[in-house]
Amino acid sequence: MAVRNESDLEAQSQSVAEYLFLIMLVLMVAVPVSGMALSVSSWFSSIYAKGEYQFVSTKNLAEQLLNASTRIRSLESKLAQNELELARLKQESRDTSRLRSLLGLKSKAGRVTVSAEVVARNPDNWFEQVVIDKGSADKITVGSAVISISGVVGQVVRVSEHDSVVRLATDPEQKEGVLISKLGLTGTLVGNYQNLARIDYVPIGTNVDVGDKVVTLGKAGIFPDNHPVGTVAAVRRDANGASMQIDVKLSENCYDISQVLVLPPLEN
Amino acid sequence: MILGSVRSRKRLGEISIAAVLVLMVWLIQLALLSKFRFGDVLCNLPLTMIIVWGVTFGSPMPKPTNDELRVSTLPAILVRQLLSGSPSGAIIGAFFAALASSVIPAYPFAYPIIGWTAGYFSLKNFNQAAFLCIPLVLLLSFLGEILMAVQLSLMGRHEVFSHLVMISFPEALLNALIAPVLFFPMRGWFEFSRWRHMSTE
Repeated sequence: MAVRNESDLEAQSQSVAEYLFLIMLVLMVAVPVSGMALSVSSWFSSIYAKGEYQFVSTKNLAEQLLNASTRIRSLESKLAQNELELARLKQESRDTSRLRSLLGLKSKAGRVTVSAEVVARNPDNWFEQVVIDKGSADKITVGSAVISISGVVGQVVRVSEHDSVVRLATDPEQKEGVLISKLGLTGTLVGNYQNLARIDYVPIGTNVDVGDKVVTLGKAGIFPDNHPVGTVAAVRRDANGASMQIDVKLSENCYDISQVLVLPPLEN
Repeated sequence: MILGSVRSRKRLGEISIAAVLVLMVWLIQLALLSKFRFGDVLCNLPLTMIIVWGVTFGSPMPKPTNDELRVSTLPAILVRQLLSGSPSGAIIGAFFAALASSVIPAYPFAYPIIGWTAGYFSLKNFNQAAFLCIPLVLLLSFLGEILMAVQLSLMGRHEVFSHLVMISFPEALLNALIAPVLFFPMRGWFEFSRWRHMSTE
């Protein structure tokens, strides 16, 4: 009986040892495996988190870039519009000041005046002419004087119902009576294309100086009297040496005019 | 009868296109090009178009054969040569001259004369015509300005010849520079109308 008990105890203790050994074995394998699994999962999760972060940040950056480019485009178009508006306003301001000056001139002239705008220039190089947007419907007649605030522009040579042709002071056919106000010397100013206009047949010995003001004579009832024409640019003897020739720099730049005032001739 | 009506409709269409072209060129010259001066000189688009028209469309007279030339007398050859200008060039010139005379106090006879004369130098059968049209426009513009100067001088305008020296060279140069711009589309139109004409026949 005691032997049987001893053998049972031995068998039981052997099986307990086996169990313990198995448990130890399982633990020895499972702990590193679980640690490895844990580290692999954490490695994967960190890579995923990094990738997600990169993706989200790239997406945000792209969105910001798109928004910025749209904004830049809209700002650029706004800027272009503003620049156009500014140019228009500048032009309008120039026109307004010109018109204001013309209005002042108009009230000063004390006779019938018509304000007009230059719409075209002569089509060739032989004639110095411009076309204005007012004609016989606005009481403009052939021979009307055309002036601006700066000086004499020319004279109307052809009239239609709603436009007129103006021969500029630079045309050699255009002649007008002028006065060198400092001396009270009168003369006839003749155009000379793009060159300086000139006054011929001035008596030798006349004390004309460069810079003297030349104004309109205004005796024929066409041009107003004492309106600026230009300044003396040079004085010299003519080809014969019998008289002097005066070069006059016109006050009005006939190649850059937009608004003018037309003065129909005075009757009688 | 039907063919005739188609032809006359085509002719009418071509005349309308020409009229629109002429008016466009005139407006461009009057309102746009006259604002741009190069060394105080304007380029003359109408004159350039007249010359380019003349050299593009040329004369409708057929070229004389060698046999014809052999049996012709010198006066007959000269008369034939004189008559072989460009009638359409002269008409376009006359049209432009009429438009010009509405603005300037003269009818520029030089325009139709130059239009006719340009027909003598027809570039119909030249491949490198775009390059040849440049010296032709230069020479004919210069000739046109001389004719204009003579006319104005006869009309009693002052200082014409001194002004001629000042403007004719730069103007002719400017005209010559813009000539290819007009020549290419004109040549295209000419080729197209010739092709259409041949396809109709």
